[in-house]
Amino acid sequence: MHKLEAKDIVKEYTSESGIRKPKILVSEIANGFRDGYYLGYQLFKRDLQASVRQSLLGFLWHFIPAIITASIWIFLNGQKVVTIQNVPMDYPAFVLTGSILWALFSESVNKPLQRFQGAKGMLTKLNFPRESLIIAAYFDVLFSAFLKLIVLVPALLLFGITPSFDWILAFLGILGLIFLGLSIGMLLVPVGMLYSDVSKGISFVLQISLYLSPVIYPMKDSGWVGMMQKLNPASSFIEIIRSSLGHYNFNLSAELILFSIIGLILFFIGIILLKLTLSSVLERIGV
Amino acid sequence: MHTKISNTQTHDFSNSKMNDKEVLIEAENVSKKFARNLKSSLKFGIQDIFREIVGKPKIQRLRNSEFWALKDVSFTVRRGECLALIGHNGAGKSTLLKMLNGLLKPDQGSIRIKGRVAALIELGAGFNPILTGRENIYNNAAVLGFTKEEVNQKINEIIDFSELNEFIDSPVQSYSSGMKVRLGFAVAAQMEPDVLIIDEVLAVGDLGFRIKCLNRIGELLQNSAVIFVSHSMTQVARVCTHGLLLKKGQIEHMDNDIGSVISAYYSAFGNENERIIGGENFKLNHFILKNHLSQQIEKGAIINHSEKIEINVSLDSLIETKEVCVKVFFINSEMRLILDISSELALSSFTAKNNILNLNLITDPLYLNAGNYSLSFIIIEKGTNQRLYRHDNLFELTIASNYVSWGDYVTAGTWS
Repeated sequence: MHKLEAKDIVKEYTSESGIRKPKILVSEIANGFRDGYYLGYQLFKRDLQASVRQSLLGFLWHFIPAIITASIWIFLNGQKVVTIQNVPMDYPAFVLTGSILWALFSESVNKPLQRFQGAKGMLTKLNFPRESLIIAAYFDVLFSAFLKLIVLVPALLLFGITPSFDWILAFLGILGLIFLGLSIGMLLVPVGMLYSDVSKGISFVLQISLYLSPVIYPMKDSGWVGMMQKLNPASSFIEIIRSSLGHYNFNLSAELILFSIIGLILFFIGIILLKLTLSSVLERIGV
Repeated sequence: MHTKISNTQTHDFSNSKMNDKEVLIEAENVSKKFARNLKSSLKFGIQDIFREIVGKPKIQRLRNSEFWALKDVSFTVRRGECLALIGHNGAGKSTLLKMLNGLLKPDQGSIRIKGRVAALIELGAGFNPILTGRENIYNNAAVLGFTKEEVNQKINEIIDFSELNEFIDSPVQSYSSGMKVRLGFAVAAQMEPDVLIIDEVLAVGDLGFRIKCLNRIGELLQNSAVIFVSHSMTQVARVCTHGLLLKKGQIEHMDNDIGSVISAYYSAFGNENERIIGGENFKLNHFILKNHLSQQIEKGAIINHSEKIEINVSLDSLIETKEVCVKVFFINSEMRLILDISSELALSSFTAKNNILNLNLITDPLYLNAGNYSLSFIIIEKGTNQRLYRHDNLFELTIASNYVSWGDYVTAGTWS
């Protein structure tokens, strides 16, 4: 364990709110990330190993849903059941990229709550750095993004899209999308641990907002849909990624900057909120 | 393996020698409330979250459906001391442990903990049943705060300690529950904490492994401040230096003399009802106990260790019997039969006269360990060994002694 003298670590627990001692709060969070890193990695590795070992399709599950969603839309569009107009790139490539990115975003939003709920038993019995669960969530989603890229990149090449330096921007955009999703997800953890409505709500809202996002059809400039798309925090990230991959114009710079800043703020709020409120939450949910 | 443990032992000792006797755990007026009703509890949860965010302290008064699960508990534990936390189910032991471990925040009062804390509250946290024992050692160790290098270094020691060499590469879901506990304890045993919190985890596993666990805890005891929660008074008497008896969230009794806390715990047990098991072939008229001065004693009376007692019994026989043998059982509070006083062994048998059976027994000196005993009275037909009558919880008495032991039978012997 940590090679510290006993006198170096003194912990005090009182009824006072942790926010009253911001210095201690911040240093606890920082220590939590440092001390919890290995545990976070280990939890990620554990669940990955287990999921692969007890499954025939293993990693394939990371892209099957997105590929099927995309295939359905390619099929519908091809059959002229629905006609998607003004697509700035080859439609199959467009919708496949969109679906995969949306799947990644959904996963990012869901992950923190999933991680915390999955570790409920441990949380109520042991005092380990809670930040490790956030680290594990990051590993989960980053790994999933890596797997998705392994499918997406060859698919794009197959659809005749040529790689360029813009792709680097796309990869950065993916990191931004993940960061935003996880920050939103972290914010939902405290209340989500108390009430099951939250996790049900998340999946419902994500399903609905798929149709209000530039996933299966392109951005609209005007009208209600256009406005909804712009208010959707994921839109600008999906657009920057896809336009960089597919070489078309990106014109949501303002939204991208705005939602990047919001994402950053949400991250800090989320982490402080978790630190402050988790013990109040745990005493309500578990013995 | 044993030498390895003693190595870390000496290392730890040299580390802490100069800090000897320092207070590592300090609890001051610690209180905690819970809500009886889930809906209100969740609502208050949201309220607490909100107050936490805006920097207000917790609400001190009781809200609707709330009660004090723990009220004004104060104590200190120094390095080298072991505090037994005892009490009935729901007395607040687990709540207190969770606060000491930093999982729950007190609603009032404060807790100060110095040094590295290890909690043996749940063994095998972080295990994934699909993965192998070896893989799960890493998972569990990570949860307990070990680094990968430390686990790599200790992995053989852990496997040896668990005695699971053969199965270490099989998935944990194929383990028996005892095997899982062994693996969990083997990992936890590697911790070298300043403050150790133990919650009855030792009640599982087979005898050999339990002894091994107790030995390891005994080693940890010397250099740590320990809080030990257990319902087994034999374990408490063996391990602890102090005792704290909780009752409905409050301190009922706290003492340096562990024996007095244990007897307070025993006397807090409600009297079990008398019970006749099987056929009612006899009707009990009286069952009278007398101490060594031939004074009649009441139920629950205290008898000094190694005194004799006298028992008078009178029964009406409701059936035709020939000769019968009788026994008196002393059953301790862990429901184990400790003493069997049998007339058969004394080669005596009795016959009812005019359907009345009168018996008198003078016991040998009662070398029983201090504690509460309940008495049962049994009648057996001689020859057929058929049980004719069994009356449980007929009488209760407490054996008192200044000497603390975890043996069942305690004598002085003759030494020279």
